This record gives sequence, C-alpha cells and structure tokens, in this order.
Amino acid sequence: MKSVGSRILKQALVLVPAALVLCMCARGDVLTQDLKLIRDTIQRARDNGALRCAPRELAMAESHAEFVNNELEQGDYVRAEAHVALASEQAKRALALADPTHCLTPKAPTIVRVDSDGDGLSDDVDACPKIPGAADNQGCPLKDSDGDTLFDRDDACPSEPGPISNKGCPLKDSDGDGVMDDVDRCPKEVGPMQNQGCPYPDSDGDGLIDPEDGCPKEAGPVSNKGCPVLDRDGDTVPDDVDACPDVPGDAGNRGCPKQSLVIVKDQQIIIKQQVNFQSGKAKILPNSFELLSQVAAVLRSNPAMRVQIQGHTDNRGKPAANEKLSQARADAVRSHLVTRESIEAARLTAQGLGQTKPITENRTNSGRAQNRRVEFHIQ
Amino acid sequence: MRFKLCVPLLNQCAGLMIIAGVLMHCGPVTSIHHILRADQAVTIAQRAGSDTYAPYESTHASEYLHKAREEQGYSDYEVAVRYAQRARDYADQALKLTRARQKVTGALPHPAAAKGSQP
Repeated sequence: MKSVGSRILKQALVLVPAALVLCMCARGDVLTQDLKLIRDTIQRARDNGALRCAPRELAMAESHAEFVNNELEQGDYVRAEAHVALASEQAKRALALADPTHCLTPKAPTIVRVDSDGDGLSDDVDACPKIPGAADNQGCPLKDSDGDTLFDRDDACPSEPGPISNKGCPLKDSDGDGVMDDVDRCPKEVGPMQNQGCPYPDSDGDGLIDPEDGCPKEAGPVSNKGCPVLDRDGDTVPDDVDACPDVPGDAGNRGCPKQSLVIVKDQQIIIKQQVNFQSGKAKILPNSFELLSQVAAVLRSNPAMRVQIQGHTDNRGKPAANEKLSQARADAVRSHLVTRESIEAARLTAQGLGQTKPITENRTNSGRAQNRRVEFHIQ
Repeated sequence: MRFKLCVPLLNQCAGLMIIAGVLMHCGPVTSIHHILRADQAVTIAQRAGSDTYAPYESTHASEYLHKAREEQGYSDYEVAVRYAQRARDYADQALKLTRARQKVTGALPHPAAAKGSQP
C-alpha cells in the first residue's frame, strides 16, 4: 500500500511539472499568436494613416507589443498577457480611428494666424504687423506723400496735391483765365467764371461783349453802350453829334442848317453881315468866307447874273485915300470870288466909291461901321 | 612619523575609489542614472508641447520611460537601461519635431492633437 502511494507520488512529482511546462509552452504559443495578430492590426492601422489620425494609440500599441515580446523572451507570461491586452486594445482603437479616406490624404493644416494690428493680415505675411494697413500694401499703411487725401497708390500725381476728381493731380488753367480746366467749358479760351470760363460773345461785332452791350444785336459805339446812334432828322449827322438832331443840317455845321446870309432883292444881293477886312487894309478876314461862299452860291445858281462889287468907307480920313481903300477892298472881294469860289471873272466888276455914298450918319461909331461896307449890285 | 600618518589616508582614498568604481558600474545606479536622464528629456519635451506637436513620439517616450521604471522595479536593470535609452531617444525626437512644427505653424496645435486622440 505504501509502495503504491509512493509510486503515485513519484509519478505526480514528474507529471505535474511536466503538465505545467506543457501548459506554459501552450500559453506562450497563444501569446505569440496574439502578438502576431496585434502586429498585423498595427500594420493595417499604419497603412490606413494611424500615424496621422491616431498617433497616441499607435504608439501605445507598438510600444506594448514590444513589451510583450520582451516579456515572452523573459518568460513572464503574466506581464506579457497584460501588455497583450493593452496592445491589442490600442491597436484596435488605432485601426478604428484611422480612416484611410481622411488620414492618408494630408490635410492642409488649419492655420490660425495671429493678426496683431487687426488689419486682416496675419503677422506672418504682414510687412507692418504692428501698424494697421491695407492688404494690397502688404499690411502697411498707405502713404499720401502730397497730403491731398488720396493715397499714393491711387494718386496719379503723388508728389503734387490735387483734388480727387482730377486723380490727385493739380488742376490746370490752360487759358489762364482763373477758371480751372475741370470746370472751364472753354479751357482754351479766356472767359470769366460767370460764363463758365467761356468768352462772352459779341453778337453785333461792335467791340462790346453782349453782357455789356445795351443793344447786343445792333452794332453801336461804346459811347452809346453798344447801341446804334440815331439820326432822327436823317441828315447823316448822328444825333449824338447833331446839334440840331431834329432839323436836317450840314455836317460842317454840326448837323444844323446853314443860316442864309444873303438875300437877292431889288437887283442886289443883300448880305446880312458885313465883309470884314483887316483894319486899314484890303485883306478879307476868314470869318467872312462863309458869307462870300453864299454870295458865290447865288451866282452859281444864277449863271447869267452879273454883279458889280462896290466898296464903301466912312468919312474918317482923306476922301482920296478912302476911295483908294474901298477900291482895293472891292477888288479883294472880286478876287476871292474868282479864285476861291471859281466864279467867272467876267461876271464880276469892282468899284471903290470911298465915302461918297454913306447909308447913315458918320457921327457915331455904329453909323460909321454901317457905312464901311461892301455891296453886290446885280447888273 | 609623517609616513605613518599618510598610510591610513591612502588606504581610505583607495577604498573610496574602489567603492565609487563599483557603484558606477553597478546595475541599479546605472539604470537609475539612465532613467533620470530619460525622465528629464521626456519632461522637457512635454513642456515644449510634444504631446500636441509630436504625440506619436511623445507617447512612445512616456511608455518606454514607464516600462523602464517597471523593469527597474523588477531589478531587471539591463532592460530598464535599454528602455530608458529608448525613452530618451523618443523624447529628443519629439522635442525636435515639436520645435520644427511650432516654427512652421506658429502657435498651432498639431492636427492630430486637435482630433482628440488620447492614449
């Protein structure tokens, strides 16, 4: 009985360790198989982009798979199992997170850029990251060199101030009339601002522009404000210089009719004025030329008329001398009519009668003045 | 007299040197030294943001460091040293990647981190 027991004990001492060894070996094989599966899963996860989408899970799976390997080498199956569990779990998670459609295509990183000056341009592309500026100027503030409120970028003349309407360029005044070209309707012609830089017309061409012309449609002198001067009496002498605007007259007499100084009456051409001579001499004074001209006109209108020109004196002086002087004066009048008025000499005779035929008394000055005379007698 | 005084001193110095030499090549001391260096490297990398910018490398470094400590606890110093070295390598790599990626993307979180991947 005792021998049987000891035999069983001996067998047990041999079989149990052997069973344990076999069991352990089997367990090691299982873990190795598990590790292989884990490595396959890790590889698939990697292939699906787990490195990108599940880096922590992948790293955990890989590191613990390595730990499994190490523990198996050391024969510590308990710790190996713990690592297998963790590696397997992480490998599966990595595989689950790794979606090849998203993880294999590298996404453009969503870049959140810092914009310190808040001008809409992030600092990495902002040339002036601390100063707000325009995007098209690399984030730097735009310059306005000429200070005309138009930035240099948009200013056609960045160094000269000018209005926006002229693209920042200074306005020109081509015709120099003080009206800038941008508002000058006639930039090439001088004209006042009131007429938008255009010259005023002179419709009637009288030298006065229409606004200053009292009669813009009718030519007229400046003195009459551009209006034509009337000639009411039609004597060709304009009213402004016509001393007698309502009576036709002679231009030489300022438009007034000449006074008739002669009358043909009683076989005599009676003169209303005296022919004036230089004192004591036979020289006719010019103020008597008109009188003699009228006498000549009578003679011209009566071609057949023959006239005797008589010279008379007052009673002062010697009779012979007076006769001689009166003759000389009569001759002077005849000569005047012949030479100046072109009267035929044959129609005229001259006779000096001296003091012999006074027409009034010689006692007074006025009487003597009346007696000193020339008379034209029709023959 | 002087010679007599010097002999004990020399003996003491020699003893100290022998002890130091032994300790230098002693497994626990070496592995602790490697683990401390690895721990320092991992800490630096994580402070730099490696969990965000290099999560793969950073996770590896942390796991290896953890395993090195574990092996140290099991008195498996050789393996502990090996894992500590691996942890340090990954930590250095994570730090480099972190700095490079920070330079490229500014102060951006790494796309992987934004995805919510957790160990």
